[in-house]
Amino acid sequence: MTKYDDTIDERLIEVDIPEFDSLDEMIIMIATSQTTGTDPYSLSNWYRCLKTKYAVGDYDWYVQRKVSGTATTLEQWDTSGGTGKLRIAVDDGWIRFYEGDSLRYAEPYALGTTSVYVYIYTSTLRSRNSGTDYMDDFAYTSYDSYYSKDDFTDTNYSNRWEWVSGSATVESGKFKMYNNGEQKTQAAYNDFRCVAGKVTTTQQGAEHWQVAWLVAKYIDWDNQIYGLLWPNGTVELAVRYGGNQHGWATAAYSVSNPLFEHNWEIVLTGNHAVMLIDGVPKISATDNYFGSIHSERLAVYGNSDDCIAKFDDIEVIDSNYFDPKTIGIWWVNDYHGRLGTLLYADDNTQDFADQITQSSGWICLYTNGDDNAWESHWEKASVGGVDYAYADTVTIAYFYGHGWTDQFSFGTNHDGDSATNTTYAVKANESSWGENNLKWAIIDACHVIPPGSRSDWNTAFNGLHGICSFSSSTFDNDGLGQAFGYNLRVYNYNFTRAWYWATRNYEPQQVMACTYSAKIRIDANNYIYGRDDHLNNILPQYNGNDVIRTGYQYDQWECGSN
Amino acid sequence: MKTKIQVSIILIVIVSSLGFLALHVILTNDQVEDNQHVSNSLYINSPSPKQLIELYPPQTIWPRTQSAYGNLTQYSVVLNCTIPIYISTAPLLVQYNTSATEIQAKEIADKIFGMKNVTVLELMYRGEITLATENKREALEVHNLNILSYINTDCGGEKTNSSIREIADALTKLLDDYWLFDTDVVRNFTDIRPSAWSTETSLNGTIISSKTTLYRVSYSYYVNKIPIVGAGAAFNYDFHGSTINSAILRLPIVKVAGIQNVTITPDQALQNFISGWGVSGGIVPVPMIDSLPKTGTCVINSIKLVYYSDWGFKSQYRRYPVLLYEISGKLEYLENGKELSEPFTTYEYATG
Repeated sequence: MTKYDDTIDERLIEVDIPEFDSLDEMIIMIATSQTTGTDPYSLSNWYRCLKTKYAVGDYDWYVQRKVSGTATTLEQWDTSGGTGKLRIAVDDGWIRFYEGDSLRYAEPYALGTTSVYVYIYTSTLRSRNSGTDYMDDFAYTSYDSYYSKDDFTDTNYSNRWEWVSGSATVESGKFKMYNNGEQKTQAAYNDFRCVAGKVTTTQQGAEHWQVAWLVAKYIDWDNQIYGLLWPNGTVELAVRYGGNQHGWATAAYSVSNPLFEHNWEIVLTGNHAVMLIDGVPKISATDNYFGSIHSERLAVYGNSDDCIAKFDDIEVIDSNYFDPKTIGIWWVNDYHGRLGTLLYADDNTQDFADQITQSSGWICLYTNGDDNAWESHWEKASVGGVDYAYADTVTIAYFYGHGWTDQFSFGTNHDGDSATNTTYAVKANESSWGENNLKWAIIDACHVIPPGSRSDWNTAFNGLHGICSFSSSTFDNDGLGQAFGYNLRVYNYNFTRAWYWATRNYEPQQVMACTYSAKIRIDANNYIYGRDDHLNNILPQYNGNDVIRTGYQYDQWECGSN
Repeated sequence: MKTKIQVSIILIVIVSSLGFLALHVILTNDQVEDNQHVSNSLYINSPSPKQLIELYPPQTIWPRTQSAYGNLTQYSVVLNCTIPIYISTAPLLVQYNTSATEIQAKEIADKIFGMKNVTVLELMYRGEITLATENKREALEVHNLNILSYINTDCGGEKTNSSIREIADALTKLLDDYWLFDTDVVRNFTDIRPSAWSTETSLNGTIISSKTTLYRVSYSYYVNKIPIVGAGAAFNYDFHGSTINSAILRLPIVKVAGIQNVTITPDQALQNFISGWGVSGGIVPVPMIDSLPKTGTCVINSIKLVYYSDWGFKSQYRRYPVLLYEISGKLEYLENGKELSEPFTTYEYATG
């Protein structure tokens, strides 16, 4: 029993049972009061879950509640063995009980106060059993670090899921939706969440949207965030808010055998959403609607009477722990004779991506090379650009190619507004990054930020933390991108030092590299510097009311490989 | 540099090609294997230049490539230097890198840089060993026994030019006393200069602070008084205060393997540059600049014959420093009504 009471809100308690073959019961419990002289069961207000073994090899798992002296068994479950973890979590007014990683039961929290004592104990009828078992690894942690998962080994899904429409059943360990079947979770989850699962459309309807849907946030039909795979392989991510719909789907995001089972993930962080299929990011989108739907449930859906959809291993991870730390790479070797052909643009950017994605949680969303790398991907909407769908949706965006003062150049003309003086290139005054997501822009090109023109890039800083680039000519070399990624990931250098050490090693003397970064006031007394960002400790965005950009830092150095 | 009796054979750790295997066989047949260090020194023996030339004949025909600076024939040329005297022959050089073992890398970290209790970080490239102190404040990248990079994030203190020169010279001597390899290069002190700056500005651009943060002590390599340039011959230290912040230390094993004809005169090289021709990006790094205006002034400050030694990070075996003309200067031109200047250092073929 804990010595003092403490809040259980947004907390997870757990204990592991490495051995359980002698005693009757192994219990974890929360109660509003203490007892040292009586069986905790006698207290008036508590929740507990326990494993029992009243006969050899006969293990059960229980969830029980006692409120104002009235005890109720909420769930009983035959289990195959006695070992494993018991977990209780309270969050957003709900209490959840887990056996191992599997969510077994959830209901609105009913104890009246969240200040509780935690008990772990055993109970045995001496005439029936005796001996020694043990518990280990007791933890009392933030619920944010935990996740829930339903593997549908329990056919009685009604204690966890709630009917929305149509029909549902658990069949061969999978959650089957048919006759326009839709089920939502009983529990509600954090806004920042990653919803994942194995999804199959075993029978499609007449329309391309009449397939399996994974609904990452669900309030009702008019307020939901969902993903689906069309029969032709197109991935769709969409959000309905107040009856209005925004959606993202192009053939470029295609998946082979779309109706077969695939691992789907939808990661939601505020206004940003990423959809991955089999671990591969397919869509990254930023939209106010995403952030407008708060802390609600998730759902699974087989759209239409004709569709049969199956779901398995549906799990929810707090996306603060699966932050979609994303990168995008743009490279141009072939300038079609307009500028000199480069040799190492693809190698440098891909090697960088390979380094970063070895770090946990980092994924590469965009790889756009040669003619698929467009200037409009980096340009702001007011000049016709679509950075809000590309460069400004990732955390780090890396460009490798030709550049010049206040600009960097592409191989084809995809200028957002076709202004004659801005074709083929992103000009400083066409940049505005960070409104959505971008923290660091790596512009691996000549002359982009010379000292006398650095302030021309101030327009780019709208949430952006910094730019790594060059202030002089630089050279087409193999190795810089890889070294930069390595320095960030393995040495854990901040961006400025990582860029310094990479360019120092891989660019000749007389080449001048630089970082241009923001100085940020986070409150009345504290400043942070964008230049001090580390790969897995990137400072928060500062375009809200409470954080203000106050100035800039320009670091410039001579490289040094010759 | 020192020349010592050849007593050891290289350690060949990574066998990456049939050619490499063949090289290994020839060397081990011709020489006595002895990997042991003698006292506090590291002996590295280069292979026979003759063997290398037979195995890998040096390239004599070079690809004709457009210069990154484009055709400058409409620029007026200002010569601020004398064109060097044409020499018709120059030594043919071979350069050799030797793989490092983990034991050797740790010994270098300890004996040269005083790094104790280092851990081995994961590889960046095959054959490369990265060592770091426990908190990663100091790291040594041993790309091979001839290519070292050192960084120290925990540095500071007062700086004077004389003191950092003394510190750099002392560490260089420590290196030279430790590396006892057979090479035909000499290394000379070049200069001390600022190498990094930091400027803090307000939102409206007012400079709040501006300071020099690093100073560099540089050295250069020569063979027969011809400089060796390029990443394979870099040797310099960056100082933060009185402490070495980082060092790029190349210790090239270079041998004269014969004589080559210099078939292009300095005048011809300059004309080639003005006409828009340059050296392939596979031999020297090519600048990634955008197109320049077609007219302006080309100021030539220096033309000299050099050997260009490439990176060698991924190349664990032989290569031939390429004989080139290095041309330095600046291009002055008008862009959007503004007078701009683009300094350059570029290369032109001297042979082939």
